[in-house]
Amino acid sequence: MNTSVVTQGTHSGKSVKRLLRQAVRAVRTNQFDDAIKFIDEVLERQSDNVRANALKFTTYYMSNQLEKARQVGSKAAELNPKSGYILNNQACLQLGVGKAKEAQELLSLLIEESGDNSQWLYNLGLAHAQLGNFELAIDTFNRVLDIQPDYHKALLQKASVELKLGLHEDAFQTLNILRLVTPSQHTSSASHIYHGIRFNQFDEESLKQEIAIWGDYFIPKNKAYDNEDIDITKPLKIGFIIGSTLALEWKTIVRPTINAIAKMGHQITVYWHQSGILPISKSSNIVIKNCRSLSDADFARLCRETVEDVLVDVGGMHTQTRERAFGINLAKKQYAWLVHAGVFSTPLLESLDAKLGDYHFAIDAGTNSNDPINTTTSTMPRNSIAAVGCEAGLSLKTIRIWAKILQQSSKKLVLDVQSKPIQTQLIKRFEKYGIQEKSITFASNIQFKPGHLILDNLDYNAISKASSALMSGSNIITLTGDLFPSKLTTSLLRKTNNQEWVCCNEQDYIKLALKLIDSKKKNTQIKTQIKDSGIDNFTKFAEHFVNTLP
Amino acid sequence: MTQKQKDVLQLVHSGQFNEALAALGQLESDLGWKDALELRVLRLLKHGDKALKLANKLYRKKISNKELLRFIALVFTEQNKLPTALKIYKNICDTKADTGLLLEYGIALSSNGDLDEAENLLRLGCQQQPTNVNFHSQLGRIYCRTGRVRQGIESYQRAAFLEPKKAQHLQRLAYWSNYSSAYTQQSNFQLARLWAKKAYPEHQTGSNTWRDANPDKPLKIGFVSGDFCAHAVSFFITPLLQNIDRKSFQVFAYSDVAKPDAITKEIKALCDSWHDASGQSDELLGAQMGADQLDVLIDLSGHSANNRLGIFSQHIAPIQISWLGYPSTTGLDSINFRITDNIADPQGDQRDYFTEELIRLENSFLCYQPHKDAPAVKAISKNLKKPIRFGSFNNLAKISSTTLDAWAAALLAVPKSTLYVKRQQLINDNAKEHLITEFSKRGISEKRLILKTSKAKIQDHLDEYNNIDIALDTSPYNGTTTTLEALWMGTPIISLSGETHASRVSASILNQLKLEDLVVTTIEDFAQVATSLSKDTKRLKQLSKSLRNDMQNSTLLDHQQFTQQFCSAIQEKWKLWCHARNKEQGIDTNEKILGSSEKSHGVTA
Repeated sequence: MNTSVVTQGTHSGKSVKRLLRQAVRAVRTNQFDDAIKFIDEVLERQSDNVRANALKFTTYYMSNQLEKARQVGSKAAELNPKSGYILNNQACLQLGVGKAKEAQELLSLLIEESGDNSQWLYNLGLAHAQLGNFELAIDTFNRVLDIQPDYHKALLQKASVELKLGLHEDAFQTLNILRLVTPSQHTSSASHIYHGIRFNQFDEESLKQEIAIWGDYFIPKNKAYDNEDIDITKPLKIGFIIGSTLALEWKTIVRPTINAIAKMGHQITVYWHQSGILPISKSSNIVIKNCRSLSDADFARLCRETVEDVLVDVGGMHTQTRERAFGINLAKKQYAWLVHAGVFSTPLLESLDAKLGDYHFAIDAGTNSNDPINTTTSTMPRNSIAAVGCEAGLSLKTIRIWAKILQQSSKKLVLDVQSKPIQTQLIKRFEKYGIQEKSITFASNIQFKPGHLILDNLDYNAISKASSALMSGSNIITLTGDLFPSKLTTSLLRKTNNQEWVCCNEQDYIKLALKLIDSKKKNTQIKTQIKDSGIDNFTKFAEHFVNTLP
Repeated sequence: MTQKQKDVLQLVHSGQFNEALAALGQLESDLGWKDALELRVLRLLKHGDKALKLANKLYRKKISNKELLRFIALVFTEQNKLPTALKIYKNICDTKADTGLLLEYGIALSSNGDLDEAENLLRLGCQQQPTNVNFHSQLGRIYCRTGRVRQGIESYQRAAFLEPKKAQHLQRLAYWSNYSSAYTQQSNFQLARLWAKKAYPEHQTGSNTWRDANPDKPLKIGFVSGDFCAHAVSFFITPLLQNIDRKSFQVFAYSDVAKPDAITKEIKALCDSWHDASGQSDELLGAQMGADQLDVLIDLSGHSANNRLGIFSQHIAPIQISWLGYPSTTGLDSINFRITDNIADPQGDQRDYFTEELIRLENSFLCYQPHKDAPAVKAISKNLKKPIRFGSFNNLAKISSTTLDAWAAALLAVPKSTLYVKRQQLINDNAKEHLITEFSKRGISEKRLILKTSKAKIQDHLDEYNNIDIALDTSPYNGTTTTLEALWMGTPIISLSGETHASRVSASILNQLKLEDLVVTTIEDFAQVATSLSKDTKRLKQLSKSLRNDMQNSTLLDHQQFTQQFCSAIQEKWKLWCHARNKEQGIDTNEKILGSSEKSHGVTA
């Protein structure tokens, strides 16, 4: 659309056509400033010149002046509605500044005009995800994969959205395929394994095989290294690698343990890998190093410079796992503790849980909030059973089993989920098993009381909340799973002499739940049981921990 | 090593196998290095017969050289002389054996049906060499065959990860994903597309342009299958071939059957042209088909074992169709159509996860020819005190976690009922134990399970349906032949229907018999129908008496009508192709192609 809007201003007297030609030439020879001058001269005369607007956007984009590109991009897009280059790139820029709605509109228009294109659809999927239209985002990423089934970014984003919705099984399948199309990327494989553990998708043997393959493939081998002895009569230098530990477990198990060990006089280094601020007590014995952005090689270098006696990997197999670094021996002794499968990809890493035996963690159940600021608690709704560890969603297996309990009782189920998308999905998933929406409610931070029945996430036990429930005298039952994260509550209950609440099969679990629902049985011995077990005694546990290290 | 030996070895390493063989011929047999190398070279040259001859000759002598014995055993395995191969392996293989030997022994055991022992060896090998892809792919095969599809799929995933350039692992994944409750239609579709992209990245989507685009000419129709033998496919292809109008169609068959039998002969007699494609490369077979100038080519295998999808990627015929042998998409753009029906693949708002365009026949997408020697249905004398016996003779791989949930729900809902499962693979302890464990997790004790291996003779197998009161279908992969067999033997079947074609096949069949009430969509309903049918002894008796007759009178056995619908559908697609082709070339045609003959052949658009 060439409207003749002539404005006053200095101009060279050249024709618009000539100026545009010169601008194009300038862009081609990377003389972007000159190009802009020519283009601006055109726009002074014809502000809606289609080509000039397009060219201005292109020039800014190619010269990496992205904010300027974005600012002129909307008009360029309006004037060039069929330009894939302009609309797609402008949409990307809008996404970059969080203007997902604008991006979505541009891309929808482009796709409507010009048909499906994997790149455009991918960006549209991102826009939907940013806008919180998660199901639409998944559909869009699926459309990308229809065209380009090995588009790994689409797979990654799709998995991310599926996780946000708590669609465990779907996310795991997507991560499976992602791993197949990116076999050389250790992070894809690590993510696959981590989520497989998290969602209880492996049995022990297949997990061992997965980790053996991962180790063989991705860990550099150097047989020159071996573990050495350490002398615990002297203060030790102990490093803790904090990877994917859940916030609550950090507060209730790991941090108090680290503090207790520091109080014994040992020197602690915390290698922190999460985003956000590290909340830990200030102590001269504790040094914190933020390692999130370090490569494995740099991380290894850092550890070796610190010359640790013992390195304890609390992250385990997760997307940012440091197990590759362990291939070259970073300390005299290397252990993995908690939040780990118990199966390792390098012989230089030992299981501390196996060495610690039954008493492999202590827990401070005074905290039962994910949010350090929010300390409000809610009352258990009447006629309800509470379920904990549901924040990231539930597997279909857990839902199926809990649905059977609900079907045979007149109770409601209270899930500790705050995320609205996950709440919506959970309602849909429970409906598939015949449980209506009115039977499901959501409340985090329930104040547990004696006689309450608490169900723990079967795949990934919420050990902190479970212990909080136990310590408050509630009845908590568990179904022992195959992998480590689904056995934690079993450990807790056995340690505190409550093994009658541990079930080994679904039928027994359902029967026990139904029996306890109305019994309102109160465990009056719980405080004694906890004291005797030492489960909340960090001083005792820290001694046990350190004594186990040699 | 002598200089001569070094020279021979050099020839082998440089790929000059014929020269190496000639050079080896000049050396004395040493019952060691020389003979082992000769066997190796014969294998590399794919001279199976000669290798077998030499292996036999050597085996008759007393050999102590383990390396030589290993090659002899390998040749025996490849030439299907399994008992002798296993005898040798047993002597030379111990737990400290190298992984190569463990693998070969494991494969021999697996080929001989000794799946438990094979599994143990292969798992040991896996522990020793976790990145050896062959262990994972062999284990995948064993796990899937013995009903542990989840572990099988995991093994194939590892194989696909370890050998990313080989498309066959992706193909196995695509195939087995149909059996698993964990896979959605979308992920199955994606696996098929991934496979197609990897296997045939440049496959053509155009059709042969020199074909004579005459809409009225008799058509040359080719069928490709490795199952033209005593296999389920024969029950469905035979009635079609018997009834095809030879004025309108000339039938070509391309048989990939490794061991032809009496059924192969019968099918061959029904074809106008028969080509033995077993052992033939895709290139040569493609050339043969090209010379035959086929108009329509039909795949009966999909991603099943021994498929020939490579041929279809060459786009040899203008019209290429997938039918019968595989329940999902092939993933190939070069296969234009897939034959189905409105129950198995209902039309609706939801998208189709097929690369092929669906042709929905008016009735069912298949017609059935029961075994001619099927035994009579025994009358039920329902004793109210006798507990109900449920049953399934389906492939163990189809007994998914969803199936187990449904069957357990039925057993729990009907007190004292039992479940009879019969399948050849139950001869393996691991297969049995898996079922027992899975049912136990669901609260069903072993006492309620009757687990048997298959009967050798088909008549005896069918007669066993007389020992079941109610058949239970599998999900998400329904029975097809087993559903029809159960019904033919007077046994009603309850089916849990889902969203995929594979999970709706039984619904399609039962719909033809107006038994829609036996099709459910939830596990709760499955248990409910199991309960009500168990109590309705009058209906059970009546079905036992009438089902065979009802099937006889239904569209399922109306071979003529089915063939007519099938052929009309193909002719319509041919006409459309001709129209499009002629339009491209600017050729005028007065032919009214669209919409004219729908009613006469009953095709649903």
